[in-house]
Amino acid sequence: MDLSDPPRKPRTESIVPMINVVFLLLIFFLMTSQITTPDPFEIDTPIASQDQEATADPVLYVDASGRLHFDGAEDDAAITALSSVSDTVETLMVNAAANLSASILAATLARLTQVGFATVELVVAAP
Amino acid sequence: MIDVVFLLLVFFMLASRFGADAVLTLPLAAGGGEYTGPPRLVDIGINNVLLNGVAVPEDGLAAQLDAMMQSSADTVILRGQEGTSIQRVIDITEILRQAGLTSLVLVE
Repeated sequence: MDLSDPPRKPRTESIVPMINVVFLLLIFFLMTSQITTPDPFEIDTPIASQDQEATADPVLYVDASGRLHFDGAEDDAAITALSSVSDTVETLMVNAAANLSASILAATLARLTQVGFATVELVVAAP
Repeated sequence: MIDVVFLLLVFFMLASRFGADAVLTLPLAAGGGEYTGPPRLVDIGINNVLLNGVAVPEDGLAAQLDAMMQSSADTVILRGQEGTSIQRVIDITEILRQAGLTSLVLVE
């Protein structure tokens, strides 16, 4: 007579809770994320200890030599593209390199004033 | 299906960016005509700061400017000298912001 225990079925990992968790994470990332747009060129952001949160949406990139980039357009074409945006928004985010000369930035800001922007937000990094 | 969900999860984790960028707000010199009071021109050099052409120490700048302002919302004009980087301008901006001056305009 065979009195030994009947062979147990190997217990499978219950997969349903895992799927629940993964779905939860997926939904979390879907809701909270903005897809990163890659920067058109390498920019080392200036450091500032005080900052505010960005409110503007369009971003103008300025590299250390003063090259402009906005939405695929460079330099003069970027300014032209910005002038069509400035009808609806008054604030522009400017992502400028830390070692860009201040006079070049000032010249760029003057051009932005001409195409109708009232405020710029300079992107900074925490120290 | 779980594979696909995992794939999506990994994609969103890698491709996403959280929170808004940190920014410093700079009003532009648009409109004009709102400037009142004595001239407040801060020239920012690489190692020095000039207020209306007179060299001042960085920590005394805000106090000296304060005497020239009617309210802390008055415009202060910043001008970068030859060779001054944005980082330097932002450093000075921070000193002034700490003193409560918020309307800083960068000009050529």
